[in-house]
Amino acid sequence: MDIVIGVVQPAEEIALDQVPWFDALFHAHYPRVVGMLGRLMGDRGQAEEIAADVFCKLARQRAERDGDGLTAWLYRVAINAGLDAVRSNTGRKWREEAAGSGSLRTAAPGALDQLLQQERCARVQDVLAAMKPRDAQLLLLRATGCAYRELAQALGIQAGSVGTLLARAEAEFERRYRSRYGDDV
Amino acid sequence: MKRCWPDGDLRAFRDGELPRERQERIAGHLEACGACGARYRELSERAARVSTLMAMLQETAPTSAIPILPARAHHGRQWAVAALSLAAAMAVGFVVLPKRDMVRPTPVAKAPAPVAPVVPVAPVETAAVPARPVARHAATRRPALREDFLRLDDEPLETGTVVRIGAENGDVQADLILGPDGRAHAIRIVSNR
Repeated sequence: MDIVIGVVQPAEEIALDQVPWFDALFHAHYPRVVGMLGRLMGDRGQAEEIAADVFCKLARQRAERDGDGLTAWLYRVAINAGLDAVRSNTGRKWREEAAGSGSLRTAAPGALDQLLQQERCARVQDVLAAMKPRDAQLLLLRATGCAYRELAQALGIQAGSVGTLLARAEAEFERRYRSRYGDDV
Repeated sequence: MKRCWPDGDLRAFRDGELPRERQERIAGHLEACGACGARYRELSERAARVSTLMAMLQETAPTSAIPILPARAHHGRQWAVAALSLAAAMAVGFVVLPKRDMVRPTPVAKAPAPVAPVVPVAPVETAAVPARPVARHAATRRPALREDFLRLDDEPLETGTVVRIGAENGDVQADLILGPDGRAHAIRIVSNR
């Protein structure tokens, strides 16, 4: 029995020994990027795939960017890729089908609650996917517990602007949610 | 009355993200200004509602840590563990293999009594150290064949990797068959003499 742990195409290989800055960025931001994408998509595996892809792209961006610009670029690309994945809607359809068939067929205790939870989750994802990427990114990162200083770094903005942008993003989220699903907030 | 505060500051005040001096000034202002108090309550209630909705997305497992990259500082320790494992496997091979070789020699089978082969085996089991030269000579004389591998366990092994290991002086070497789980499943002693 052969176990294939991972396959790296030669063209995709990155000489990480030669890019210590990448090590630092990866350790500092990988958990947060995966957390943000995982919340957005509800699929940790897919979140890790996208995050790995984004970090591969990041390794090639060094020549053009540096410092906080690189961090902001990382989060911007990650949230855009995540929103694209949500908009493709395949994940949501799969969950709806699974919820409609599996949960109800088994009629396990709490199946209805689980179904309702999944529906609410899908609503939030839909609203986030319809928002501006920066606003969605702000709400997702804040939901993962990021402090304002970390949010500012991830968005490439001044820390003093985070409160204003966060208040606007929340107002926009609620407005879109209400317009789609009524006052059931 | 002092100046009113913008929404951004009120929002940051709610999260306690402002410097202490400004937090205190806003707190004092909110007690005196009804308009700012109403705006603050509205912002705060909305933030709570949005936070509740965003919490719906917590169905995935929390991100606990980075997938562990092998830190350079730990390489030495990992090699030490691997070396100890291989040394233990070699030790098992040295203890077990002589028994097999001592049973095999035909001179013993030529003894008049048919029970004779059993007799020399007993001292080998109790005294494994004198048997080592016998095993070493046997390994040098016979070609290294696949049949020479001695199983270290009874687990089925379909595929594996053959790894050659040796003592520091290079006199004695051994081939280990490592399974997909990384454990040694078979061993054979070879010599470079």
